[in-house]
Amino acid sequence: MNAESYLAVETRDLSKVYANPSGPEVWAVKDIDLRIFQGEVVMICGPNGSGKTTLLSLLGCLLQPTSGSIQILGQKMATLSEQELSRFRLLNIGFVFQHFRLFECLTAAENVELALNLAGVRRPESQHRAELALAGLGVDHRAHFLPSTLSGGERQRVAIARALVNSPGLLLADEPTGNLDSRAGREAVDLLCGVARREGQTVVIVSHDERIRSAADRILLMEDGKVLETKTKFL
Amino acid sequence: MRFARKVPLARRMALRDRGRFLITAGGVGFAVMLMMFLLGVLEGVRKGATQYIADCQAVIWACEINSSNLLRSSSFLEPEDGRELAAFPGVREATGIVRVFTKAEIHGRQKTLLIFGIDPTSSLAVPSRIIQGTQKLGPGELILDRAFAVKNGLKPGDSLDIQHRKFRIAGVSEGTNAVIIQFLFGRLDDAQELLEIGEVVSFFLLTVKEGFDAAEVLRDLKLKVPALSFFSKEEFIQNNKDELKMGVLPIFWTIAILGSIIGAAVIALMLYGSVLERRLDYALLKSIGTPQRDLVLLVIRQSLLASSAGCVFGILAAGLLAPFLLWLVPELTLAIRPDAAILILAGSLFVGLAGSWAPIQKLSRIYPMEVFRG
Repeated sequence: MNAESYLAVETRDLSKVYANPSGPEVWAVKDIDLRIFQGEVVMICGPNGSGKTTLLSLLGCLLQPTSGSIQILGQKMATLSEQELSRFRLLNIGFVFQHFRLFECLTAAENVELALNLAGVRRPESQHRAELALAGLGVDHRAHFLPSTLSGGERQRVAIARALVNSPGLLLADEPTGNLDSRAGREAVDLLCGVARREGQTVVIVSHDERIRSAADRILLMEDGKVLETKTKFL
Repeated sequence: MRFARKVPLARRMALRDRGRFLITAGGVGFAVMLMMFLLGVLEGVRKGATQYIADCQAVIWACEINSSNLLRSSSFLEPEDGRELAAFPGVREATGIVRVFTKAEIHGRQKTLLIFGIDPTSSLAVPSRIIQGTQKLGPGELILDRAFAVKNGLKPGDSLDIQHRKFRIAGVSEGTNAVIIQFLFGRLDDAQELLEIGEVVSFFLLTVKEGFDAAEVLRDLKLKVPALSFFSKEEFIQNNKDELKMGVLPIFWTIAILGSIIGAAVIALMLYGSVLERRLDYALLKSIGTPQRDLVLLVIRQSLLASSAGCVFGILAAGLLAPFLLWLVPELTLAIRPDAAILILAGSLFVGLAGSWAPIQKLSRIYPMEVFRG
């Protein structure tokens, strides 16, 4: 088996340009060549407007690149239709957001269960698996509470459980500690990375948070749409 | 009991903002209630306008050629026609009734009256559902329809001035209310005097002798008396229903379509607002890979939930408010049928589907990347 077969994400000359009616076009992401291996935890850092979230959106197949190619878990994204991309995201990519993005009208368990239902898992199996996922993140005692009654840390754990429940190969987290205090933020990232490492899942985290850098195997520093620097944990 | 096999997201989203949901369901409910009353009135008109014919013992109705119904066609028949019909093979009795439109001042207001002059010596044309007073009409006496009597505060024993003649109210009948007008009954000679055209009648009511088949007698009458029109009781009832349909149905459909548009607009507005308000939730659903079909179904389910809740509310409200409406407008006859409720439920579901169109269009313009917005 060669190194290619261990690649979770590969981009070549990846660019995203936004039209700007009042000025020159904006290169949010410019000619990025990126290789992320399976089981790796990569953090993308950089100032506001550096293109981190655009890159994450491209990796999450939420945006079409202007040019270049993306291959995720061995699948070339350019070959997939809109419908196939949705299905691919559902089964292979988990998302964690800064603002948690839980459905306020569903309980914690139902929020997790929803991801299973969308993937075709029906009750009672989906209920059982959702509760197991919450237990794995230590929030099973809050399973039947609405998000509005949970603390920020608990909400983020529920969101992580939702991202992990379909066992995706790739986890993408956008500022996962942005709305948490330092302790809850650290715990959330440790849980996310811990579970992902155990399961061999690849994690890409976009964050400003210096305190969680130690959780990453590799840190990419972005500026003006480009990756300026790569730091590896052991170097 | 079978539990849902999935998280009931549509129901939870629809019910999350209870105020909005109640306003929407209420809006649809009022439109449904309006429909229920309309259908009830329509059915009431149909029944009321034909109940008298159905109750009459006559099996064949004779009228002038080109005349076909009790309410909206003119018919003048001579006494000789009656004598000819009475002597026709198989006919047991032929009794004439005359229809008179006139006016009377009641409590200071001019009212239009429709009086049927009937032969007091025959039981064929007498209204059978007498709820007050007597069925027997003496000279200068009238039987009033119940709604007419209630609306005008009249009762047996009271009197009514018609064309400078005083009439005494002898009885009150039911099943004689065509909503747009109510039937009054007087003696044939009194009505002919009001009409001032001698012994002319409007219709002859016929019965057949024992041992004769009414259908065969009718067929023979049509063949051998071509100068007149003849109808079986059922045909005559249907003619009157058709006549009413032509007069009332266009109005009914106009109001029904307007009601449907209002219902669909209420649902569309509610859902459109909801999609805008929850665009981040929809963006999240898109980002995590929810199939487009499921997203569309999510909106449609919310729409159908609001429309069906509104429908149930409207049907129940119509049932509860019907007595009040009848008290308020005594001349109304409401006949709410179960199949009307089923028709309205189906209509509401259609309105629900129509109302979800605009929100679905909005949904398609929400991008999954919006989920990253603060």
